Amino acid sequence: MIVREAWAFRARVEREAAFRFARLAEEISAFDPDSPVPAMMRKAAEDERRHLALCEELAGGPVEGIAGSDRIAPRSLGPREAALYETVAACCITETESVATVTSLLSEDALPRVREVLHEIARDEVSHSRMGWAHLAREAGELEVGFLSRWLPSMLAGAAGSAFEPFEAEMDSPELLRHGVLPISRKRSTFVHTLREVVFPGLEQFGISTDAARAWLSERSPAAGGAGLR
Amino acid sequence: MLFKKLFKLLVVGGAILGGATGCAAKAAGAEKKAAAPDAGTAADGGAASKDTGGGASGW
Repeated sequence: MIVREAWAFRARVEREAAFRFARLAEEISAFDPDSPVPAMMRKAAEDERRHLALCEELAGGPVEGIAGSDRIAPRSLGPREAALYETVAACCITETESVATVTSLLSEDALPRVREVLHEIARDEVSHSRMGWAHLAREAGELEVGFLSRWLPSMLAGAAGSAFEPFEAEMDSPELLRHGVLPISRKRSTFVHTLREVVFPGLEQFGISTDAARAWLSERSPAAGGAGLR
Repeated sequence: MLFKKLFKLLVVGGAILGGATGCAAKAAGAEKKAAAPDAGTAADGGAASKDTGGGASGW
């Protein structure tokens, strides 16, 4: 049951990402026509639709809806800043986390079909994360990107979902690994380490303070533990 | 070790794909950049708490 729910949720995540990347490709090309990022985003939207089908297969059937909200940028931001916000949230944070998650899963002994699916998805997720860092690098030369600092906790809350909430014991079973799902304690530690060792240093490289983001994370993961058993 | 590799693969690799313009300009400090329109302040001034952003759902 947990396994099917997990893959169904992923199917919704993939559909949400497909919508977002197709829209961001058009928005970014409007103000940065020389950027290689829109082409990468269009390709990523196609990838995500393919991933959706793979996730539905492992979920056991068709899945409707999206996981969250298609538009996530604060309303106060202008179009260019909103596109940067969404790209950082979706690519620099969420897709980077996805690469770490899939890499962790591939280091385990998953079922053959699950392993095939993870391999196919992993190949694409690397590109999806990189297109975010590519866009941030370009925009850092044109805009003061430090405005993103105050919004990082909101981005992290959306990316984390329920990862730091109390959980049932079955959600931490090592058996989940065979089905391509990280036990919750492993999911938390992967999330935290990826932020601290990849995402935060990456953002700081572009002059974006991560103080608020680090405080948000420390509150939820004193020792990468978060809330315990329900 | 895994995370160091990921940093190079994703962050460094991505920035290179984006072109060196941003990083080079940043390093030189040569150009004055445009401030973001809101510069971190909600447009409505008095209702910043309502102007919330969100995050992208992930695996």
